[in-house]
Amino acid sequence: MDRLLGLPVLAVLVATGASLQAQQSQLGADFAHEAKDFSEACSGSFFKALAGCAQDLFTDHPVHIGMGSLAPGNGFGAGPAFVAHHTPNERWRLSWNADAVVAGNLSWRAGLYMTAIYIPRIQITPVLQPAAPAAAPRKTDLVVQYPVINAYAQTTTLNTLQVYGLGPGSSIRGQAQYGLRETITGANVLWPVLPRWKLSLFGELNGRFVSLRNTTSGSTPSLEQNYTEATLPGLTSQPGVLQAGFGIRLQPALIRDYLHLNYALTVQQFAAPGSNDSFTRFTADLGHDFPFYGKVFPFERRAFNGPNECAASPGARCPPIVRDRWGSFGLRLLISESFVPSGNVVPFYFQPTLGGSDINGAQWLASYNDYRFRAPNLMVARASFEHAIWGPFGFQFLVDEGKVALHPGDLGFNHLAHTYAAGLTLRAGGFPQVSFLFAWGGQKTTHTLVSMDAALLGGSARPSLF
Amino acid sequence: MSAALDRLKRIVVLMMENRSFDHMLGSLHAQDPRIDGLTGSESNPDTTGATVQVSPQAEFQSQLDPDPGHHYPDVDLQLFPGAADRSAPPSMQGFIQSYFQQRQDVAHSHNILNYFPAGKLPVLTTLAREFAVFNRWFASIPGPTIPNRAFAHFGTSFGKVDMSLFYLGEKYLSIYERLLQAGHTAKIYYYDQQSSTMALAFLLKNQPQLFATYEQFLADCAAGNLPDYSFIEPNYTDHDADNGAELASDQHPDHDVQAGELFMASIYNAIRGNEALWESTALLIVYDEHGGIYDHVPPPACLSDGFEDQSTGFQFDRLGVRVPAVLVSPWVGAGTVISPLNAAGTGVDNPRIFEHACIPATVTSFFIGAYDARSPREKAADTFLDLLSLDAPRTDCLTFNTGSSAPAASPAFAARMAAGAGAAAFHAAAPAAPTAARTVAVPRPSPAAMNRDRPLSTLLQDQIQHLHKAELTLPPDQQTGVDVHSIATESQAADYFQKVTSRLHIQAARAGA
Repeated sequence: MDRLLGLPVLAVLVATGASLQAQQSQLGADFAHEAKDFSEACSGSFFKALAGCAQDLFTDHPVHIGMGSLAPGNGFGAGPAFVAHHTPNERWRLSWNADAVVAGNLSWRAGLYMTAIYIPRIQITPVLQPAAPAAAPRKTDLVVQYPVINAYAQTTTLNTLQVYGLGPGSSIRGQAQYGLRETITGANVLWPVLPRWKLSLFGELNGRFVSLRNTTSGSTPSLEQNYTEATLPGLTSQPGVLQAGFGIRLQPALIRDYLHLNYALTVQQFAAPGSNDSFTRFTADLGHDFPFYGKVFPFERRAFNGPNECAASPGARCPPIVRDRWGSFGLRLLISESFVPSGNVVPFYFQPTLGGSDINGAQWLASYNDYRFRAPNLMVARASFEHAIWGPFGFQFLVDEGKVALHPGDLGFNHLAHTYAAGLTLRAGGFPQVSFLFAWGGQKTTHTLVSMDAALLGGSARPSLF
Repeated sequence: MSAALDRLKRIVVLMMENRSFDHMLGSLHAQDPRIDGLTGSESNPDTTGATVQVSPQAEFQSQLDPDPGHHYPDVDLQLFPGAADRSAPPSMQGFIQSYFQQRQDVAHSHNILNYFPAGKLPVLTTLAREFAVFNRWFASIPGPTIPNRAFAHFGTSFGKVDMSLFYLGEKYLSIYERLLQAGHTAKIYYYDQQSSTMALAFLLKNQPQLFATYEQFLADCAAGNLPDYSFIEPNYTDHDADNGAELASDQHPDHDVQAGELFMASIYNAIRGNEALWESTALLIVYDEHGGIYDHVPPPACLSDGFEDQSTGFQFDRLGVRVPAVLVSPWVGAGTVISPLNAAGTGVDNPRIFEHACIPATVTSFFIGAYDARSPREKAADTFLDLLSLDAPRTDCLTFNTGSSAPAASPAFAARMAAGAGAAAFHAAAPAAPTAARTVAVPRPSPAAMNRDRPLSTLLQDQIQHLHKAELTLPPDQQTGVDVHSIATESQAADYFQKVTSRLHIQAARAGA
């Protein structure tokens, strides 16, 4: 089985290599420039050279040092990264990214990622317009979003993962440790269909190949010491799975932009021929963001005032007239339900988790241990509040309420676990970019959370591990 | 103070990336000889010694990868190939030689002399012809993005010619801080979080007053809430968005140039879409630097701003390469050319020289007035609001239709372009229609939507009047003889548009010949 794991990676490598061959000259030029760039970046005064070198080492192309956080418990990894791009004509933009990072506990991730953007050309027509158009344009009227295709092959080896049993009744005493290797090869497509409503269609097709192994550390038992195939489906065998998915994304701004929706509805079919590990998962992720706008000046300046005379009295300052994004209030509801044919199971390693961070790094019920609650079905809601307080600093407060369930019908708003988190945000460009939060509640444990806006992390979008 | 300045409340600057004047607007010389663009005979030697002429073969993307060199040593080579004396005027003969260094490919290096035909850039070229185009707007230094943008923010780069991001604690305040201190409002509208902002120097200051995204810019335009001064940054990166992928719209090589055209159109349309805002706003569209792409006008010497770059010895006493710059306002006459080429076509007599320090100079002068704590370069910089010189705002301004629902042509606009607009007539036909390859199919309306006898809308009535005025410029024997007052339905209007525009096109072709 392990030999088969490498085949998808090899296929993408060959395909990528063939594509890169066509632009070898350009790639050669990029390599030649990188040495020059590095030399220039590291010159000058000590602090300038230090900053320049660091920036170059971690961001330059085609080769730089890639960094990334692996699943909780496996630390932060670093390693070589390669970036290339090719624009063959006026219709396509292609880019490749390959990286491999290794963490302190020898967990690692290596992947190849390709993105292709298709650009249908737009006709732009000047039109004489004696008067202003009746309706003011919105971003969705003005900005073209293009179909994007991602292809990837990624292997992740994680040496320290935890399981506490399945369902809401799991106990901290059920903790067991294991290691996992998962290779994912596939592609996804995001295709905009109704720009005004920010409605797009999403499709994916993945091959998932998982292998488990026992690991122990300290007093934490291994999987097989605590569980059996009956209590933890997927423990004894991990067949390859073909996983197809289809979904829609809907992200309009409503009520004069005071309500931003961020909806994603997805259906995924996991098919494992020759085994009983096939099932269907439905996920609804419903986000709502209510931005606060402070300092709204409710009326226009008087027409007779000149630009330096807008204040009501001589010497007084002009009132601000712009809306600033001082903060926002958010509500998010995530529901994931698995529909399993009779006799089938959902392997535990494909079941979503709540508590701390999940295997993809998403934080829910943050004060609990990582992966604390695991089941085929879950429901979690979050209320969030963030507001600027002084200079670049802001304040953030989160409340999470959620539960997991062995059966879809067991989900509901009763017996919810809850946690709170509060702390500071570092704002840049008008938005919180980095947050330092202290989480508490639930089982009386606490966590300190540091997170960075995903937009700042760059790199390629990586496929979910479950 | 002029009527325009009495009404002016806001200045908006959109700064794009890395394209030269000739590359983007050089083709307009064929349409208006006052515009100092390309005749087609301009050339550079390549590395084999062969002479290569400029060519209208520029594509939206794929030709300028790798990125042409535009740091100080690269620009120095582009301007002064083989010359030891930097006090003489630059020869502008080293562009191909410089670009060859990027890829060691002779044929590919010729791309640096490519320029866009006007029809391929309908937004920038139309705005240039409909409003005011600067023949002599230069980058502030012969170097890269950050120090050139620093001139737009501070009026100086504080002695920097490199991409250093450290502009904290410098001796002059940015234009934004000056405005806030004076009780005015200012904002840097950057595209989104993924794109981020080039104005990193202020990123942690004045939060959140100074920053907002492009999406809020659109909302602020609709609500009439634009600050006194807005600086707009395009999208600098291709990245995933809510609904697909968004392309970088900064036009930096080798980003998609049409994405920048769409962005430019959206900024214009957003301001144009609010009548009160439109009449009280001046929009400057300018590029930060030439990006290593050919331009034929030698950059002039300028007043040093008192700094010297230690690594190159550059004393900030010479401007960078010429860049496109267009001033848009209903108070600007159509077809305005600032520092027009002389009648002999040999040069510009007594040119007004503009560079990025003119931006804070203009904004400071207009909103704050006398202000001493500025760089020598900014104090000496020309200002441009005098170009808003009409007695009343124009009522004949255009909008841009984009996307698959855009009409294939606008008869009134075509007629206007063919017949000449405003005080300064255009000298050739309208920008060429996009080629079929770049035109998406226009969806057919359903049969039920068709109504040839639908009464005229106000818009169509206005278009008929515009077209009728254009028709009257034709010789009497070429006029249609149609009584425009008898036109009552859309089908009659369509017939009239067809008749007049075909005659105007013929006349324009004859004039061009």
